[in-house]
Amino acid sequence: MYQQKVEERPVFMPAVDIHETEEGLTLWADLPGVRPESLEIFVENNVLQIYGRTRLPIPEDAEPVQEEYRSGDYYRCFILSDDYDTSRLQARMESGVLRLHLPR
Amino acid sequence: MKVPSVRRHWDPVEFLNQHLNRLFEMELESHALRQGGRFPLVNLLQTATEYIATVEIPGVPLDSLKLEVSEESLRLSGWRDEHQDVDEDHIRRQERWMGHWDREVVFPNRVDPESVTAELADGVLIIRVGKAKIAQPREVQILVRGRGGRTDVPAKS
Repeated sequence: MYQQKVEERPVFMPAVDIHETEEGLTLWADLPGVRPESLEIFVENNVLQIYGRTRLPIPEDAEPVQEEYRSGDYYRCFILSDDYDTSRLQARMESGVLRLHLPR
Repeated sequence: MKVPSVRRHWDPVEFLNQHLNRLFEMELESHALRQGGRFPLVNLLQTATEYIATVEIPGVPLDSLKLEVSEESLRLSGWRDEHQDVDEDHIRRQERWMGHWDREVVFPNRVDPESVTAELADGVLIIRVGKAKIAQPREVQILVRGRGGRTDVPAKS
């Protein structure tokens, strides 16, 4: 039942900041509610994909009073230029923000 | 600091099998669009006994947060620092909201400020506060007069 609920959830594009220098690329993505173990990063050829699942400890019987945002998961995909060394990709999660670094 | 899993061999067929239905229904709304200029976003929920506010504040340091709860409302403020020492020429995207913010949420009914708890995990703050006793519906015992409410009517001969 809970699984079903999760599957029906929408997917959103997370907001990102990207800085690019001669040395490499650094990306920050806002992924509130995504635990580090619920985040998947796929790198193949020159495609980078980020997929994060959210789950909040809210009681099942809670009903919305006012909603400013809809709960959902996060997905975003980027095409990288050829000169990045994806084998040296570094990623870490801290308080709902992914910081990802790719050297050239 | 925790490290998420990185897969080097992404199998698109496996991914599609797993997520096909969701991909079709995917609403790729940008987070910035969802916000409509507001930060942070707050959802308010309720159970029979409490209000639960969930606030999305990724990357907001704990020591910047200030939370005040009265009988009518909660007020939350904090800030998120901008990137330091960045050459403008290196910025490719800047979508994330930065700076100082201040939000107030008014409860539909009175709450008991003494009962508030707040927990921050993975960039989401969850604030729970009990409804004031007066605002909670009370179950009322119904009394029945007479013999259990049933009266036998003697049959006429």
